[in-house]
Amino acid sequence: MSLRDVVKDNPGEEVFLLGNEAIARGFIEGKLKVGSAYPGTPSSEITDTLAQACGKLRGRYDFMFEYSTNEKVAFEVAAGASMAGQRAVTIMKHVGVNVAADSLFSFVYMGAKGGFVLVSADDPSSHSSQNEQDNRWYGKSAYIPIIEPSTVQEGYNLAKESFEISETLQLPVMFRTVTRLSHASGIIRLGELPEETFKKVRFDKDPREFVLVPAHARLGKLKLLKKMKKAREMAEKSNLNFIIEGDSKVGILTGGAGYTYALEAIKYMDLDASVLKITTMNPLPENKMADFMAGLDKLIVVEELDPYLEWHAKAIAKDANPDIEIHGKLSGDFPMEFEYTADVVEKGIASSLGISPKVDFDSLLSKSEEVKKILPPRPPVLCPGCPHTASFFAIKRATGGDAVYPSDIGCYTLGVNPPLSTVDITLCMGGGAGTANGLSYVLDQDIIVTVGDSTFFHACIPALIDAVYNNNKFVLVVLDNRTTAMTGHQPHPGTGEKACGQIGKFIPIEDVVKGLGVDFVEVVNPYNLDKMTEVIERAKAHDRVAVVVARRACAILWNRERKAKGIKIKPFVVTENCNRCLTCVTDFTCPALVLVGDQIQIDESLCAGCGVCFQVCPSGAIVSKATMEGR
Amino acid sequence: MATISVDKTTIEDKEDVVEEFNIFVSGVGGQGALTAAGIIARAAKNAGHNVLAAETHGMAQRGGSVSVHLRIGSKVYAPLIPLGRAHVLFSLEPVEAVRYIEYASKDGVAIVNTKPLVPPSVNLGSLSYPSIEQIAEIIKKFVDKVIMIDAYELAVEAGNPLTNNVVMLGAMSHAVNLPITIEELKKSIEATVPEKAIEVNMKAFQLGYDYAEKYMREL
Ligand SMILES: Cc1ncc(C[n+]2csc(CCOP(=O)(O)OP(=O)(O)O)c2C)c(N)n1
Ligand code: SF4
Ligand code: SF4
Repeated sequence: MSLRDVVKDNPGEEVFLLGNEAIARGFIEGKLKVGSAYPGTPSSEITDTLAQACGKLRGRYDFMFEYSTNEKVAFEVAAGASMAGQRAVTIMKHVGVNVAADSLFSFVYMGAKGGFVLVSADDPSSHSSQNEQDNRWYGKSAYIPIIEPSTVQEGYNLAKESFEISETLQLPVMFRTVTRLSHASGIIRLGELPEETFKKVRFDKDPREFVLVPAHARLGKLKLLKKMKKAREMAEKSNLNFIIEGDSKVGILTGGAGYTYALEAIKYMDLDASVLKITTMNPLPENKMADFMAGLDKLIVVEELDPYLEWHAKAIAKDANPDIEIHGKLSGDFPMEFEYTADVVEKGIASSLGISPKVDFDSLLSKSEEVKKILPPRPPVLCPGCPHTASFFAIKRATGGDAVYPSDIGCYTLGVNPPLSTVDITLCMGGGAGTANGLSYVLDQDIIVTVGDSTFFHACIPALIDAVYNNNKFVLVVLDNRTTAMTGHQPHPGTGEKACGQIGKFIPIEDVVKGLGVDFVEVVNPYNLDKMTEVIERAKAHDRVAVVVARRACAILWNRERKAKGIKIKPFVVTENCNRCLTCVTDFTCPALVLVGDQIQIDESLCAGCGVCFQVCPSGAIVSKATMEGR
Repeated sequence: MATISVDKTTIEDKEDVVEEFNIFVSGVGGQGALTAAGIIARAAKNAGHNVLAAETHGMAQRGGSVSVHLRIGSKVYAPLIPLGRAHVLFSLEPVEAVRYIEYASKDGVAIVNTKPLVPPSVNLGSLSYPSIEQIAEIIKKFVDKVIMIDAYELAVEAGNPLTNNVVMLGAMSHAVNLPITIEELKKSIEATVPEKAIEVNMKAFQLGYDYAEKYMREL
């Protein structure tokens, strides 16, 4: 489970890799030339692995990898490389595909010259996302072939083969994965690590392919339909869609993560059902599905999220076997929402067969729910020393809590929780400033928007231009923690570092903002609560949109830096001056501040030494340990 | 047309004497739950077993509850352990054992660290932290064999509180009939921890092992 295993040059060796690492290795063995991404869980380890491997393998196997400003740009970076005949992959989470969709829907008309793979990392159950959309539908609406692995080994295999599939079809291909595969680890057998230096090429101009004026677009559509027909033929013959024969008149149609749960259920329930496992989610092998259904009395569809296979199966059954009983989500046997688990699938199959599951899952769950009622929740929290906590505390102080706080997506979304409670809206990336424009027309309250630095570059700039242009009034606080923290600390344009470790150009947020015509721009260190509060008060009083850049490195980065330099963290401690007013835990919050009995203590092993609680305490009872010890 | 050389049998039944052995590891972000799971997984792989794991990433990691599903054997297909089918519930924190109690198998073993980590939500006063006795009672309703161990104290005794996960591994190696030998586990610890920490980790492992031996004798 490490980069060392991912870049190993030892064909045949079995290594234990995270799904995302295995996928990254697959793309390397498949000889990607250009990779691009905007980070997003659950895709991040594919991109982090490629970013690191790109530096590690330089000289042995050369490829380019970049973190792009957002997913639309990332898509176009890969599309450009493909137009020049080079193999390219672009990686994003499911909602990122929405951002890239404009480019996607027309790029299919051009087709792929060099193999082009779009990785869509979906997140059933919204483990770390704002929704759980099912991106298989993009296959239908954008006419893009989709392949979806079920296991770590298959993820690796498919990643490796995906460029070839794309080049054979001359079409971009979507590679869909889900959280449970991306974040599962398993054993794969390594193939050859390629050896090649990077060679620049010349562009083959062809306006009929690459310039989508209406006449060319119409030609492009015809070509696209032809290519999809070929893709369908390929899907029919491909051994990626395979049947495991059983002895009964019951069949299971499945794919993706659902396949692995179906196998578990077959094992536990001792079933002799046949299984048709689908890997080419678009186009579907409709004839193969028809043949499979022809000999059955009952079809059980096991798939997460939307009844995608199920609807298709129903349509196909109309001609293939109108009498077949089809069980799935539409019949009410399986849930429409959230990711599947082994028990959900066992229950669904049992219900479809009219029997009871081997284990009484419902009573086990209700019994455990009952005993869990006494458990204190342990939701994710902002880290000790997180600069966002200080910013939110200052924003609350400057507004007396009486303002509307549209926000965005990142670690700072956790500001929604009490006692900070300074996040009122989180829609999608860039949505905070966007909605603030609309709110400013109709609200008679102050509006203080927060946005992270990475999110600022990703999608906030057009919304800010909108505010300047239309004279909309709100305060935008850019929480500049010098990184994309939420998704694993990737660099971005405001850090000046590049994905593979080289230096790029640093773009200061305040310069961008001034360039857009904002006339109130201030940079402040949020650890200085008084200063931060005062700046927000002035920003609030400004009569047009005002921008405050709260700049202070993420505490995790600060800790890493101190560790690397051998600097010891200087913790804070609570002295006997504490009068137990509890302001530091009821108005402020930090995981290092713990209430033991009625006494506040600072857990020194957690304290980052930011000193913000020292400024919060009304009785001066929190001091630096070093000061107390007279050093 | 491309010949697609992907194996048809994407899930081979690997030859393995062990068909299915499930370990559910839980704890709090930063406690070493992922490391402990990694040590077991590496040992199992080196012992020639098929291994699958599923872990919490992303949002759930920020000081939140962390869980790893570890599955060993030729007949495991999905990364998640089915409810009621974890042979071992291995928790580095008492409340985090109860949080995943539905995964434990009745005739399995629970190994639970008794050192509480009080979540900040308790500061705001809605729910208090339950007593260890109360937690042990609950776990006993779901699992026949329960080992409560103050791994933190033993880790301090070994010389580093951070080795509490290895104390627990030591305890598990005695209390559970694992498909991995003690030697294999120890080798995997050596390969995982920094070289200068090997000694203290071996001591931690032994202290955990001895504790479990004594505990089981007294049962
Ligand atoms: C369209 C889209 N792409 C990616 C993501 C995943 N994502 C969530 S937050 C975030 C960025 C967080 O970085 P930043 O704004 O700097 O805030 P921080 O986490 O550092 O506080 C990303 C990339 C998403 N939710 N939506
Ligand atoms: S990772 Fe950084 S930005 Fe995120 S909560 Fe922790 S300190 Fe704050
Ligand atoms: S100084 Fe105070 S606020 Fe900062 S990390 Fe330590 S306890 Fe938390």
